[in-house]
Amino acid sequence: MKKIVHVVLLVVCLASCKKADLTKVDEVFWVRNQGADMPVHIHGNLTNSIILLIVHGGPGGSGLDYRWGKYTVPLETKYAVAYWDQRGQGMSHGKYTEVDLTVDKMVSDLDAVVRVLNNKYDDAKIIVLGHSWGGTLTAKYMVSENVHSSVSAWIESNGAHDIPKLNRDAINMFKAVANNQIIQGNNISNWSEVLDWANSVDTNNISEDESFEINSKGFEAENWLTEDGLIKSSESGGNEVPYLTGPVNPLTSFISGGITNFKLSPEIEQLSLTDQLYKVTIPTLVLWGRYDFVVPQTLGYDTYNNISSTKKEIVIFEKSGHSPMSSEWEPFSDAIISFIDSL
Amino acid sequence: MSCKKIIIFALLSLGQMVYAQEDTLRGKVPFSFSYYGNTLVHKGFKLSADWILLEIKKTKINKKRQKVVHKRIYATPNIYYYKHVKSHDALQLGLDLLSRRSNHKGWFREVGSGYGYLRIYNAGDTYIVNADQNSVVNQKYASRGYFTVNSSFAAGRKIQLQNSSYLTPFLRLNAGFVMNYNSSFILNTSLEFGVRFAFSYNPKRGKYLIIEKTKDKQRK
Repeated sequence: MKKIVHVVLLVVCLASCKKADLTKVDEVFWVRNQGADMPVHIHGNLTNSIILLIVHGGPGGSGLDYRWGKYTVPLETKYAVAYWDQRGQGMSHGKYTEVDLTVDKMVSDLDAVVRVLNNKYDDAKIIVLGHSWGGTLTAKYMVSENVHSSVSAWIESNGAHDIPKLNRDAINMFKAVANNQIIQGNNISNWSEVLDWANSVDTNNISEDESFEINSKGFEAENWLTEDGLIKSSESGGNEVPYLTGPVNPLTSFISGGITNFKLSPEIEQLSLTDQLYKVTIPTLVLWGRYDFVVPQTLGYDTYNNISSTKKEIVIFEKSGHSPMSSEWEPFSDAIISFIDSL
Repeated sequence: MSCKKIIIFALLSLGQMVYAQEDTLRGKVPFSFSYYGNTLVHKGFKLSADWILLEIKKTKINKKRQKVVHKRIYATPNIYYYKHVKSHDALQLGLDLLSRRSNHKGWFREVGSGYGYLRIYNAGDTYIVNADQNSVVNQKYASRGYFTVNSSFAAGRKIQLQNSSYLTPFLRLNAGFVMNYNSSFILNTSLEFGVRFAFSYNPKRGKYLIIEKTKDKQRK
């Protein structure tokens, strides 16, 4: 009987000593910074000690929104991917006033997340990927002259680092694409309407309301181009996060994100970082969809041409709009993998 | 036998045991236990006790029959817990004021509102970067507290088991706000499905105010 007990104890001991599988990491932790508690979900392969930190769009999105879609499958196979919910978005919670809801505070949050990742995962290499609004936030961090040494590279995908320029360029893009589509006989009534509207906007004096209109018409225009086959529709499959029962409560995320977006908008509308991009010296990859009306590709070239990094690349996805990771997931993930492997 | 069948069988059996709607446990404090589903799906439970403050008994006498309707006001201290997997656990202490209207058949509907103190516990570790900017502190099960306001609607039916005990299955929908959440507030919704019960050994309420009103239409 004693022997049996010893064997059972040995088996239990060995089972508990089993090393965690670093090729399939699935964990959540929180970062507390200046009144906010923000969840970070880590999925993927940690054996290479490379973490791809996704900085989501919006403001009003959530980190795990970016886990949907096929592009994360090859990325999580090679690297650990960190999905972070920014202050006042997703499942982040906390107590702070409107004064603490600024882009600078969010940059401080991003820095805290980077430092925690670096500390928790024993000096892992961190690559920061910002999409859309996440591109704004990461750009602001990259020009802050306070970038942590563990940040090995920056990936900007369709990032809105200069809103006044974005608005001007979007109006010009609406005009150019609308004229072209009308000539080709695609969606003539819709494009004619957009052309009339774009012609009526004074690009030297774009109001906040017009800026919101540019954003919503941008998504609308992408739908027409998807119907006409110029933008590839997104493919289903890949890593799916349960919608209702998953870690993100859609109602909480929607309301929190909406409020944060509303409160941050006045500051964001004025944000222009083009003249500070020269401060970026780390390796940078710029990824953009050709038909992105929400953040036109001219901003991608703006980043590429103005940063001081000696290692820099730009990839334009010819059949994509604002979300190349959905439209052309394979070339998108390939571009990221070949860039990271070249570091 | 599947779980569903057992529940149906148990409810039917309870139905057979009903033999009186006369409230013999008016002086007892009933307790409730319910499944608490935050946003319907995040599982938890809720415990509460109904402390009756006032009862208004209305009797309507027609030519054919007599109809008795009870309106009761309760102060209901409650505690609930739910787990949102891979996000957080939450524990709330609250106090609701409920207005319940029940008829002679045992059916009731209820509206209520209340306040609470909600504590949200982060799942996993919570890290804070130290002032030196290089080291981090790890807090296990870190939490934050919030005040909540809540309103609810419930319906159910009282089933008398014996002279000395009863069960009341009920369904309650809660909607409210978690205040000072981030820089403003957040909507909080939940669904409860549970049972209120009073057995002979439940604590006694003692005396409370009862107002009786009678409308006799026969006199006309």
